[in-house]
Amino acid sequence: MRVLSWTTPRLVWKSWGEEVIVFNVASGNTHLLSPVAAQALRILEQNPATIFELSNKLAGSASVDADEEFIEHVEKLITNLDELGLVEPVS
Amino acid sequence: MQVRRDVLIQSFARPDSVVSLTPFEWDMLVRRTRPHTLLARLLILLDEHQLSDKIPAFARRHLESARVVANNEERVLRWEVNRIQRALRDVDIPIVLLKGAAYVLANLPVARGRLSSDVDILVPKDQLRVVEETLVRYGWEAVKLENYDQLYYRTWSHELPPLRHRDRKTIVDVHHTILPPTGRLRPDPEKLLEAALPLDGTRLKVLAPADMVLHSAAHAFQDGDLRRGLRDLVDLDALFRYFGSDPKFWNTLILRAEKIDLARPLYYALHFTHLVLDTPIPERILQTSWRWRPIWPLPAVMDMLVTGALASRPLDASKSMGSFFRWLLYVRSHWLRMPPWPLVKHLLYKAITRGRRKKSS
Amino acid sequence: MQIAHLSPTQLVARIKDPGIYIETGPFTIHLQTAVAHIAEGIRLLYEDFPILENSGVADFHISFIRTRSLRPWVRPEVRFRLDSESPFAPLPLEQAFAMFEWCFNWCISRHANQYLVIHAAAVERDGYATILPGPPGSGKSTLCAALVIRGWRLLTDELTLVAPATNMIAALSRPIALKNRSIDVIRSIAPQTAFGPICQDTAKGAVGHMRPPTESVLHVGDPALPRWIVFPTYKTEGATNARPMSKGQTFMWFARSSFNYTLLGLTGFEVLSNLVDRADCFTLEYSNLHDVIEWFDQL
Repeated sequence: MRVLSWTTPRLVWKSWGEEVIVFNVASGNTHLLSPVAAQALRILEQNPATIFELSNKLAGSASVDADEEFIEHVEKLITNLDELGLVEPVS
Repeated sequence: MQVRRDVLIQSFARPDSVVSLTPFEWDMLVRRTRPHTLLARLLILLDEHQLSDKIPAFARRHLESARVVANNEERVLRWEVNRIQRALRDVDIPIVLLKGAAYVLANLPVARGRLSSDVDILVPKDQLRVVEETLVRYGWEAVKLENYDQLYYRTWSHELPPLRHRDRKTIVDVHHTILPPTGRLRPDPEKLLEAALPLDGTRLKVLAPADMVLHSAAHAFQDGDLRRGLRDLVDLDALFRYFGSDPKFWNTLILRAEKIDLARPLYYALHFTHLVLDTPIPERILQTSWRWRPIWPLPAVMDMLVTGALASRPLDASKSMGSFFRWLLYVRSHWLRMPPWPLVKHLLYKAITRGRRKKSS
Repeated sequence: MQIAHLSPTQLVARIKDPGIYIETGPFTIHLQTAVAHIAEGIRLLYEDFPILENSGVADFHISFIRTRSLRPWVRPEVRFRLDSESPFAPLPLEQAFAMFEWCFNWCISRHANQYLVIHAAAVERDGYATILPGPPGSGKSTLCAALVIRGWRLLTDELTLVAPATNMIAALSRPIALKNRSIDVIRSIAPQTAFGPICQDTAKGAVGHMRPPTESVLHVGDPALPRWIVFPTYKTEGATNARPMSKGQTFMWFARSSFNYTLLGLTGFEVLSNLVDRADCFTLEYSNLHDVIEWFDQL
């Protein structure tokens, strides 16, 4: 089974401290992001990553282990972001 | 037959003519153009003819405001196609974009300033169910129609009822043919699918140029009821100009029209764009198309109907000859679509519900 | 020439035929109607606005027509027309002037995409604007009226227009719409305030319009730089209480309550970012109009 790599479409950012707002140019939607979502998108914007790779990066910066539960959360996050059009699989 | 040209039609047929407009006429032009949702298109046309600096500031504001709307519609449409692709990514069937979606995704000049955010797609008939089910799973819903209308759509028409996305509220029309299967003209959808061309970088397709033009003509003069009138002619004019720059196009168009049984609508398309908008169509093509014209007195009647329908509505009256002609064309298009008895029933039902709705409001 | 320079009879006659061309800030309207209520409202509330000659050029050509009915028991109604379109159901004749104001706002909210149009009131002092967003019932109109009486320049009571190129707010200076108790409240703090016809029994209760100060109207051409965003909430009791509002929340609120934020796409995002960036954002609870005005004084 092919493992997907995820990336972001063109995003425009605006943040005030902890508050992060992102504009998706293609969808025309504006989103107020949770800190985790913001971090995930920033990572994927720089370099496409699989869920596994993304989990490791997120876990690393939070100084926690990327265990099974953590990875499941990240998977849910990606599913949500995919539905919103904020991430897309690399073709 | 002479078409009395008012400022609206004149501006589209001869953009250069705007340089001699008085402020009063400019104001009138904006007001006449707006109900046709052609303001953005007009701005594009004037830009293309290097006439931007001839537009007075007060008129320009309204054209620019309309352009903002058109740009947004284009974005909405592109995103909708993106979402449809995403939903159907595991459904391995040909998907052909039609009309506005095709124009935009193929970056055709006809798309510039055009307002339309409904997406029309053509799929093989035996795949309709799969497509509908998949789209429903991804959040689209059949537009709530009364039972009668649902039946009408599924039996007589050539589409599923429109699907509206529950969050975005955008519409997708899934077709298996481009004209109603019960109508008098039966263009073979398989031929269209066969000739469809791939869109670079996607798994989607668009109709071949001749088919695209014929579809637009069929939509304007057979399937549609010319309610959109001038907009349809403006589309056809843009398509003729763009594809017509390839000298081989015209012969292909003629042959194809006969092959897929859309010769009559093509006759109307050629005839009326040339008449109303001075579309540059080669003389020999116009002459060739004459053999498809309907028997007398239909040509004169059609001329009257179409040019009457195009007559801009007077700005101080809501009822006019224009709307009467439009209604006549509406009846005609339904006559072409359905055999007579169901037509009467259908129109009666529509009339009664309209009356009922009026009473309760 | 201004509306005030026409005699009442001349004004009524002109509005009836061929209609009157009024310059209202960035927009020119051509208003034509035989409905007396509307002419009366224009006479009282638009007296400082310039009349233009009948050039035939206007941003909006609107008319109001009294609908005829053969049945005498049917109340007379008024229908709105913009060019050949009649987008709304008619309303009772007594509400004609309120209908004029609503319809005028509707025209602007739909056909002014050269601005980001936000549903909020705005007032100006020393070149800086305070934006007062708020849903109906938040007290923003009352507050707006009170601030204007206090001396702030009226920019708008309903539609805040932000120009993308400059990020400044354009003034409309049109009459302030007040409802129910607000009308009494304003009359009690400033009895000399001029009001237009008060319409009863609208969908929102009683509606009346306060005349914009002459100074505000004369300066309608001066835009203002946004400096404060204040979300008011009227409470029946309690001290005036201002708290900082998060910029992220402010941004999202504005995005949702703007008429054309989505339409403007990236431009809308950039204009709004800029706006929220440069403004101090507060929520403001109050129950006493005098106290809350003092709070604004010290801004």
